[in-house]
Amino acid sequence: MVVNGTTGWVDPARLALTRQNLLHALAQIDARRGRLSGSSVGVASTLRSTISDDLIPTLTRILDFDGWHRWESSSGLHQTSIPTATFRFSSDRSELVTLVRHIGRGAMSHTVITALARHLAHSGIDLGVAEGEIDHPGSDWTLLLNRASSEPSLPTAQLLAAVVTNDRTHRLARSLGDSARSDQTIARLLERVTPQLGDEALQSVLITLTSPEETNRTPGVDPVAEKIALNATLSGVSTRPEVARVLTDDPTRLAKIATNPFLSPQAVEAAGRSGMLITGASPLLRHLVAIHHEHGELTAGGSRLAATALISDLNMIAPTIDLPVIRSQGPYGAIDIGTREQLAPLLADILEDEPSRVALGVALHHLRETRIMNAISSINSRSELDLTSTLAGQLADINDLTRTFDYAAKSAHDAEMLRRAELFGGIKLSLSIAGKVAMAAAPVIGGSAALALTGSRELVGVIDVVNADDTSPDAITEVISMATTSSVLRHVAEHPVVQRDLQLTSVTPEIWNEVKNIVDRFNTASSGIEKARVYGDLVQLSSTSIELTTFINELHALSRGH
Amino acid sequence: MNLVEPHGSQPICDVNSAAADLRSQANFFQGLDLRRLLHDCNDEVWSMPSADHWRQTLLGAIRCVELHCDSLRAAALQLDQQTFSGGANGSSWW
Repeated sequence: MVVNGTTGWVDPARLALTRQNLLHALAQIDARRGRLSGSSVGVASTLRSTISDDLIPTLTRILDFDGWHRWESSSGLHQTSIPTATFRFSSDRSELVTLVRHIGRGAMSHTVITALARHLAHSGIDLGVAEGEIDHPGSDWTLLLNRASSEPSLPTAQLLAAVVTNDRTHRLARSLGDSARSDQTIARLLERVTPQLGDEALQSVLITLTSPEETNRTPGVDPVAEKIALNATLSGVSTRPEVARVLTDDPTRLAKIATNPFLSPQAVEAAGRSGMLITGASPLLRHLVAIHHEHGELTAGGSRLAATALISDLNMIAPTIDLPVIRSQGPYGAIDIGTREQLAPLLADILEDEPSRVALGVALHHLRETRIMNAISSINSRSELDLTSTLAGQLADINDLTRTFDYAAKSAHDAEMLRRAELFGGIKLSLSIAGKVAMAAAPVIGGSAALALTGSRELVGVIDVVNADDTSPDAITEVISMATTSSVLRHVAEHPVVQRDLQLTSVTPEIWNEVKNIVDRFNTASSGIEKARVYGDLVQLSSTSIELTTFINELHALSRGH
Repeated sequence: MNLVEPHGSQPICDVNSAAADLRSQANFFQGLDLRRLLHDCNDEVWSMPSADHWRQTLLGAIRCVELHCDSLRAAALQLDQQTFSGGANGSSWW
């Protein structure tokens, strides 16, 4: 059949004529029946029932079958709008399988393929293609797979995804994963198909690709194909936590991706972060610490994933970071992350990886701000508490963290070089990480890692600024302290209750408004020098109130000292 | 048996009406032209399983009808031969 460029099916006009001829034959039989001999009546009756019960209904079904399509106008005969193709698909699974077979042989147009893919996806039809020998060269599955991989088009990828997704046995998904591991063309196909695969199908592909070598592995694995397939699948699960948990729940599979040097660090981190939403950050970190301890190292992707998990639960991990066993909270209660000796080498690797170091430094800064806010909230609710001692308690963990990081960095190959560099000389211990972050972050802070991990936009802004005008390391530390102080001041300025609890009621609303204005100017200042100048205005303003001056000095000292 | 004039198609005499009726019935079935329907089914354009099934069903019906037509004609011929040999009185239905 040829209908507006669609080839390869039955001509409906011809079938309609055939059906008409059969109806005519029926009429002839009925007209002649009375004048036939006994045996002829028997034959005529049989023929009649065959025509009326079988041939005509089957022909009607073929005519109704939608392997072919008609162009239908939506607004009458005499209009000039572009007609749209409409399809009706058979409810007979075997006919749909035949249509898929035709597609596998390259006989159908993209319009039909797209329509069939949507039909299968929308109606959730399992074609049963997985039944029988799917690996046979002439099987429907092999034909479709070869067609889709040799003809990289969206419609065939959509059809393949629909067929695989609706296969309830998941055999096709496993076959796809297995083939992708040994064939680069199919691995590329998997790249295109992954976004359209259903969760269960994608999970089966992921399980196949990360299965241990001795299980279900066909010989002839191509490392390049495996890399393409794994990267595509990992990227695919980055938005599907329920699928990604296959990795984060299972240390064996996690080890496969966290130690595979060929994988994209971004893909590994994205997939792990996704699974972490279900598994929890601390259990994931515990697995990674054990894997690092067992293998001696993680890849950049593995290190970044560990950094992500650490940062995610940093607040909970901080109190024990300096103890022999580091402990956190998992979904089912307290959880041991590992011993200090096990964690230290992993931290060293994390600090060696620049994006991870940046993210960790930013997170540390963020945590410090959070703890300052916690201290303010505490004294807000409990008037007997003293701000200075409360803040000191809150910031004690920060000190432990920075000390642990410095200790870990010492074990890194280049840590000594880093520490001996004049760039960081003279900067106080607690701020050394922040200073390092500021310098290290400059080339990469535009990337997604730091922002996505911490959301600390203020520090990112500061780093952009100091990078823009080559602010000196000492001044960077100073600017970061100013940023912290400004951040706290804005919080206090916006909350009169906090002002009362901090015994800052003598500061008039006008002064608080002016404080907010100056903080806004500080945040929008585009260079380190300008920020320092604006901060000078803040100091000058504070001189109008002894309480405010004392408070700012105290904050500034805390920012610098912890 | 119908005797037909050399240049015409009308029977000039009916020597055995029973045989003629048998042939008439065979001609009726033949006139349904079932084979033509089969020729409409061309392998290149018929590819669906149901179309294949349809073709097989039609072919079965055609064979059944053709077998019957053969029998009708054979019976008519037998009647003709019996008439010429004088062994029959032309009264029997096949």
